[in-house]
Amino acid sequence: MDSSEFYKNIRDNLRKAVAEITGGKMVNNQDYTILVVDDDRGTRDLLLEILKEYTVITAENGEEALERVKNTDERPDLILLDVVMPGGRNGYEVCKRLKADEDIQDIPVIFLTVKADAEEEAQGLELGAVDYIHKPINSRIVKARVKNYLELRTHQLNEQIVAHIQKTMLPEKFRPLPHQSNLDLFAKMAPTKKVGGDFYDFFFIGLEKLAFVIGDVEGKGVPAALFLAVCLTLLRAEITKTGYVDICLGNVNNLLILQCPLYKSVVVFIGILDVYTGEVKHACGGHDLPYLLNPKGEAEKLPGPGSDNDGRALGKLEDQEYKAGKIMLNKGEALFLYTDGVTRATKKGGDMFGKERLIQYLEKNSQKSPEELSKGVIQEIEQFTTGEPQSDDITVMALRYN
Amino acid sequence: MSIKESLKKEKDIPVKSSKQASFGDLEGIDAQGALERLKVGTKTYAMSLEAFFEDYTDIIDKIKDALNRKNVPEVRQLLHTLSGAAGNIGAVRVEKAASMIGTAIKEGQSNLTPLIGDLEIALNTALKSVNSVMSKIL
Repeated sequence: MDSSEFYKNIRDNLRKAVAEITGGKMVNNQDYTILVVDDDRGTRDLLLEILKEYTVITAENGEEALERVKNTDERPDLILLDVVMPGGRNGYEVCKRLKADEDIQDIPVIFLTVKADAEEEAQGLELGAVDYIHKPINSRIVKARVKNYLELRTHQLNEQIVAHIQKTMLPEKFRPLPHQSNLDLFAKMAPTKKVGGDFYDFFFIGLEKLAFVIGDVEGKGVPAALFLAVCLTLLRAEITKTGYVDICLGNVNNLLILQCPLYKSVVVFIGILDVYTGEVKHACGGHDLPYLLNPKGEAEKLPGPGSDNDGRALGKLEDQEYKAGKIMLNKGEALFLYTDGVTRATKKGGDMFGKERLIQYLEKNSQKSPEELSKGVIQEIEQFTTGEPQSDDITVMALRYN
Repeated sequence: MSIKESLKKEKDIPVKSSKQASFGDLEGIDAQGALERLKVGTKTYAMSLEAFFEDYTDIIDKIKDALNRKNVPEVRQLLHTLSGAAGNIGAVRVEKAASMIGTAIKEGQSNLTPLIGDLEIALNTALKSVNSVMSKIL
């Protein structure tokens, strides 16, 4: 397989992944399915006509509605649900059933009814319905409500896609690293609600070499998540293929510019550890350099080329050259990698967590295991920010050589 | 050819056409108001009139029957459905009469006969109008 075919495959797979996650939704209005549940034929027919720009499916009663919703082939994006229907199961009960099912509880429900009293309407909203549409039907109101809630739904789906991509792309199993008792590694990410684009990766090349990666892509939301998936895949492929950290960054940089028309950049740090000798070769593309922790309790920035934020982010300038650095990890030493979400974590009033606090924590806890260290730093940040929502992901990775 | 089939053959004409006039003088049905509110073509509107005619001719019997069986939830459901359907097509008096009975039941009123009589008259008027417009279209 030549490289263009390889990257075409990646792109095709990404497209498939998005289609799978979204159920192929979000392209045009006909791709939205709306389920209209009403025992009155006239109401169903009118709504079919009024909402003809969407795909409308109908049900005459609660049982039929629940059946239709369970059919994943035509799962609706929005449900217009009559409150009063014959046959025992009224709209409120149907809504309760929908909201109790994990797979379908996210589908917004709008009750459709002759104007009810406030008490009744409150009851419906408390069951989890998003709104009411009153009969007699007013076309403009129906169209506007439907449009608004579908937009909201799309936004929610986007957030799910993003979280899904980030979650499924990043490795989660840290232990046991195969055949290696002298290595301990842990990584943790505290994502923001909007997903800031952080990622990490680690994998073995053969039995002797462990590659580890940490990075942060530009932007937020779905485009950033897709770009993140591309970056992770390219880095993994190029590290494995070349075995050289500097060549890998150079290749990925060019590939992002030439082959991946997303026009975004990424900052990244990569290392390859020889697990028998402790030698680490590393290269940096505009990312914060890790700290080296020694058993005496000192934390210092990793020496070597590629300073913090030196403007060599990948995906900006073609044919950028990257330099490799080399250190020997002695037994008991550890590397601590972090994204800028750590130092830029901000509390109310604007104070940032900063490098000093990070160094202090690392030096005080240098003997701790990677897992304790990673979780400890995130906890320390949470205490510092006192739960203030952060605008960027916070990601840490620790690697100890024994 | 059934009413429905003949209607389907009619081209759906936008609201602001001269056809709208043929719905204008229906007793008990505010067709113009309904068309403005629904913003559907006359064909769609005529079809919902037809559906109303077909589905609600025997609703009074059903309501009376449920009342005899003292099945209050069923009575309320029937009234609610009728009120919604009537409101949609602009059968304003039917809509009001049905919802008034609903309120009367909620308030515990025992003698519903006069109110049901009112509803029956309003409904018959509306159904007659629908029937007349159907035969005109035929």
